[in-house]
Amino acid sequence: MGMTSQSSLTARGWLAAQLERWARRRQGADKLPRTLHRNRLYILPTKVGMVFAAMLLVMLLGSMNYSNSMGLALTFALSGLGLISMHQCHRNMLGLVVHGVSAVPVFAGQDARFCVRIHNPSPRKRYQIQLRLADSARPIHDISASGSEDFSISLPTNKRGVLRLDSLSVTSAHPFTFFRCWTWLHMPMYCLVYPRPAPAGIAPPHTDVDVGGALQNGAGSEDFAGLRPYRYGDSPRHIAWKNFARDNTLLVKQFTGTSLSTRWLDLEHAPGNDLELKLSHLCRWVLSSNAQGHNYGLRLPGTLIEPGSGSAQQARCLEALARFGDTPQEENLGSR
Amino acid sequence: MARARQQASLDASAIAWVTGALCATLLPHAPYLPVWVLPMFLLSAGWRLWLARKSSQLPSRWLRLLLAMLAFALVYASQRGISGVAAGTTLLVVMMGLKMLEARTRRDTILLLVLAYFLILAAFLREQGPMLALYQILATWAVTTAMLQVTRSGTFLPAREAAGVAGQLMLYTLPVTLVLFLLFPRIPGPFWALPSTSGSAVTGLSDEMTPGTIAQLSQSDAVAFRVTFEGKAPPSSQLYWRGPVLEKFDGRSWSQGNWPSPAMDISRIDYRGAAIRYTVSLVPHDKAWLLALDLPARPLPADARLSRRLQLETLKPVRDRLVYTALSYPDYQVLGSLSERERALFTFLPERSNPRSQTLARTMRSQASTEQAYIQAVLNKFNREPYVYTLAPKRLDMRNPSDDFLFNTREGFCEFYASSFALMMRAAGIPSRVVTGYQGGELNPFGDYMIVRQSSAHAWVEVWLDNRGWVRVDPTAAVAPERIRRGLPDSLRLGDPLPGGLLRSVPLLADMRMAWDLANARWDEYVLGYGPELQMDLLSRFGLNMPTPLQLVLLIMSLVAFFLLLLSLYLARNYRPRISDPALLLYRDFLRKLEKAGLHVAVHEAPGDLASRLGRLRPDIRTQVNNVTTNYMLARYRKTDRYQLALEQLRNAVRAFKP
Repeated sequence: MGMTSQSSLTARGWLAAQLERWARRRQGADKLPRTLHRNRLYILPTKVGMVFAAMLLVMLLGSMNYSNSMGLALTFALSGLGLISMHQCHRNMLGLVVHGVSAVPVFAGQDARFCVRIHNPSPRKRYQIQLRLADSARPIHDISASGSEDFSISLPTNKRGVLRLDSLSVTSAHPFTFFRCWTWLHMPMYCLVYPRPAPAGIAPPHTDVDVGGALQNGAGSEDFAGLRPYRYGDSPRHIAWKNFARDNTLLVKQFTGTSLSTRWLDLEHAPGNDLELKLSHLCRWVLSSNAQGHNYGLRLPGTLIEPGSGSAQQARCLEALARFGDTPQEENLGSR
Repeated sequence: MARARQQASLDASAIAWVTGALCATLLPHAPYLPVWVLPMFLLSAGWRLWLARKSSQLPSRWLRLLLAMLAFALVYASQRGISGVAAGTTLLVVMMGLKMLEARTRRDTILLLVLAYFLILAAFLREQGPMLALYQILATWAVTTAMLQVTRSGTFLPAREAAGVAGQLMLYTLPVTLVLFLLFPRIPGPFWALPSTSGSAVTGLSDEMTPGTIAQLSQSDAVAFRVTFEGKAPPSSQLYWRGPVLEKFDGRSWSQGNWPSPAMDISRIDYRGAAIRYTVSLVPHDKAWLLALDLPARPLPADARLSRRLQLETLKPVRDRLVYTALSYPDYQVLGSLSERERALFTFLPERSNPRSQTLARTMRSQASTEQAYIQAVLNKFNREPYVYTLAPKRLDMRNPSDDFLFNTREGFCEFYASSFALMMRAAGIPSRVVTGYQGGELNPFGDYMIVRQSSAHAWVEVWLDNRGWVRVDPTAAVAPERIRRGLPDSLRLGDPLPGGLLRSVPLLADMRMAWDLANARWDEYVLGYGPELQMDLLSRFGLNMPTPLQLVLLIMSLVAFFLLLLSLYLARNYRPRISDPALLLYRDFLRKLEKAGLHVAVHEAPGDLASRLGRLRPDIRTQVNNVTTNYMLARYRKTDRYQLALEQLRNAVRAFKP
């Protein structure tokens, strides 16, 4: 569970951090899906629980003072309720299964969205299950009997790179929030953060290499050379939609030669002095090249991506941009 | 990065829930609160609800402070202070109303619900009957449901579901509650001074009597006490339950003399005949006396003494249900003589009060030869002249009430006759005093005990005769002999209001009334009366004699742990995933065997993919794996005629599988 810099200064924050470190050592690294067993559920009374306990004490003294049998009965019944609520709070979490964490890559400045699926295999509804991941809003859902619920969390990003979180926590204070039961799961979770695209306008410099039909395996985009089956990542522009309408099979038109030249997008040629700014421009170029259906390759110091087109090519290029230099992440929240 | 606080702001439905729960807890208090309190509470709740609906700003801090001060002043003025149960409850309710106006988040309303639990408790300080207890279970349910709702983040559960969840939790608490109730060390209070229970007036006899006092009491059907006799109950004419003895007369009302009066020298009493032994279960009356058959003897009930007035007195007012065993002799004589001071006290009359009665008394005394003849003459006067015994007499002229009664209205209840009779004795120089208490009682055929209600309240006279001591004379018996022989209902004038009238006259209802009283009596005895003595009694039955509090606490803890364990087992069954397909269950066994052998299976791996991967990885088990997989897919997905066969083969294959 990530700590805010503010709360880690307090004694409570420090204690919570120590506790999590201890749990990490005890539990080891986790692999999903993970069932929440007894040995990893922790439970403590909350402030509301303390207030309730104080009320019980006052009620007990009052009833004894007046030797009031019904008052005592009420006090004991409510004490029982407190005890049962502790039991139920634990029971409500027990046996839940945390399934995979997924995150869709985003551009810097956008919110990274992590999505955690929690499954309730039992025929009883689970109430008020909350996901805590870093310092974000904490979604709470009831999970219906034998159902699943997706908990999604948005984290603001402002730098490209890999947003890495190391732990998440699942908690619940149902019923009455007298007690809070929680567990920590420790495993790395990633979200790729692409560079923020520079404003459109500056076109890539003319470094195109018209290789004509000489490009490897003859792929180009000029002359129609036949059809081949669709492969994941092929640009939708090249799909033979007429064929699809006729035969219901996805075929891709192959071309040789290009009219649009193959572009090489090179860090060297990106404008600006700052590396991040350069990468921003490259990012924009990748996006625009892809949108225009160009064949494009990416050249970074130490990395070379052969020309290609389609969404898979775009993803490859953007990931290379995101990971370039593998700068340590300042907003790497989970590492603390 | 600022932490996003997940504090659901207070929405209209949360306010509605809290208001509903609070109203449920307020209902038992409603008759005892000043009239303006409930409307004020509802008004603030309504106001808050309206603000929430319109999402408007809450009233400003100054306005709230002003309202709070105003309300406090109102409570202080109407309750004359803020101590005591009634004033405390009033203050609590008023402050709850105001608290509503400043509740911003759902969290703020938790405090209100905690206070609602206190209100439930407070109602028990006033009364602890089984009906109220039953109602309070419902009220607790309502508050607990509201608690469940307002402590949720996000949307509320549907009302039925929330009530179901809360009700289920309350059911689970039953064993724990029972263990705590039975075993928790009962330390007898009070630890601090009890606030007076004024404001919740207790019905019962008082230490003063004016004409009308007892007639008013007779309208009440409330139980004064219950009696269990050892052996047969004595006849109604012997059932004079002796209460406060009133010695001082000021011309209008009778009151007790010095308090406390010195103890009686018991050796001066000559008890005769057979004793009656009985156990009284007294409903708290907030007065420092006990009731006993005329006249109690040693051993006296614990903490009680017999005063010179021949009244059973206690040190402290009776505020809790009290059970005591007593011994009485209907036939007794007080030996010795009155001192001069006593004679003066018992013959004192304000000179100018009731002149006509006094004159009449002197005339009649001079015509009678002996004191006894005079007494008989006065009784005959009541008996032969048209005096009427009624619960609803005409109002008396309070300047000389006895004159007005004897010469004008000639109708009244027992205290009219007792008061006038005692006055006429004093006027003739015979020492006399008024004794109040109860006369008679109804036997409950279901429980074999006697119920004495407030409607049996009675007043009679004692006169001092030399050589015979204090002698009981009941002038009411001269007017309405049925009152003493058969009880109040048979002795009243037609048209008099009768307490519990309908209940008495319809046989089935009368039976139900008696059965209900039995339930009440048992409730009083075993539930409300469950204290240190019954607790020790119960424990000794289980072989635990005089356990220390530590032993009790250990016993409680182990029993509670035991019940929680049972609950865990029960819930484990409830929460276990239900897989109905035997093929899937068998396949899971297979997967478990793989995991045990260190062959990790990814969640996304379909059976076919898994089989081909394992085949590549471990050629030695390929055939086994394929066998399991084929049969599993047949049994699970193709439920045809081959299903049973496939299932059987799957079972064998999984059983034989050894990776």
